[in-house]
Amino acid sequence: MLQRLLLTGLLSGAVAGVVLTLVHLTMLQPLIAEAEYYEEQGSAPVAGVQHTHPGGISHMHSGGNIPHLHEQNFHIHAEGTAHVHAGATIGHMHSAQVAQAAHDHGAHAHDSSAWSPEDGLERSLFTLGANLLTAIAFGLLLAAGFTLYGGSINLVQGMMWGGAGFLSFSFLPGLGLPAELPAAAAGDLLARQAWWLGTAVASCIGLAIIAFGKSHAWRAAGLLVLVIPHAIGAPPAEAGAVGAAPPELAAQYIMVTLFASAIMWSILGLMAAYVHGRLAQDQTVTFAEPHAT
Amino acid sequence: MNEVKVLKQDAKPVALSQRLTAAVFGGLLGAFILLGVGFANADLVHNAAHDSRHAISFPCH
Repeated sequence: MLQRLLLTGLLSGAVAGVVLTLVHLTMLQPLIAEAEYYEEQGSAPVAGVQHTHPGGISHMHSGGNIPHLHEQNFHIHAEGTAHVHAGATIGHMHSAQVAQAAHDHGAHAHDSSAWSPEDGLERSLFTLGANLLTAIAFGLLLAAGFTLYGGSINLVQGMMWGGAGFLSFSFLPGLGLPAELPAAAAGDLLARQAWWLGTAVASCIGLAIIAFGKSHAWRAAGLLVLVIPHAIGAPPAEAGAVGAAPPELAAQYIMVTLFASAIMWSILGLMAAYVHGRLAQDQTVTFAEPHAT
Repeated sequence: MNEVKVLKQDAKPVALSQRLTAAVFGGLLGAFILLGVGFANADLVHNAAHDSRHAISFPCH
């Protein structure tokens, strides 16, 4: 029983993870690389630049090429951090370096000295590894669902299970927290992770109640469970914060991630149903009639 | 020789408790891997799985 579950999850996840990586490297990685270009552009300080904002605020600072917004004593940097200068109003001067030292961005700081994979083959291999692990994790969850269900599952039903996975782990959490390019503006990390996980779990439960509920009352309850996380709402980014990459790039990125997830979940559903079915056949009894010739 | 094959059906019905045990174990294992790859905040794990996290649309950064 457990062996069948584990094999179903491992095999379906391995196939789905490889296909996901192909889609990732051909369609997603170029967009990530482009966003990282904007991320680096945005954070590279240059010599002091005097400039004027539409509101008539004029000032000079050494990070002059960093896009930012000014509202009197309050301003927002391109990487999504906003801060208020207590006494300052119009015409103040500061450097990007000073600003960075002076404020705490809370969520988390990237330690640039920490190890990260080299661009190129090494980075692609780590992506393959992480995608494989993620797809296997999803495959195990799917196989756990099959096991709870208990009945046999044909390929079409497998696709429907995969579709439910796509809705629960990609589409519905994405309604509140769409896929982010590097250097996107976003709210507190822990709050977003909690909302994302809560939405995924609630979506699984809600869809299961709708699919297997015996009465309209149950199905209505399932719908309610689906809606609750969205009624609560995802943690927002700070007001006015914007990412470093152009919105057109971010929009395309969201579409392509949804496409990649849909491909992964379709294959996961199909493969899991196939493997699960094959392993059941192996356990099939063959009734031989005792008096056969 | 006459054989009656029963396809796509388990040899014997498996008790709910047995299925529940397997499902809980498999589900926990899946959740553990998912949280490790997608949600652990350690810098090393984050950097290694960075592009995947962005691709699967896990909250990142």
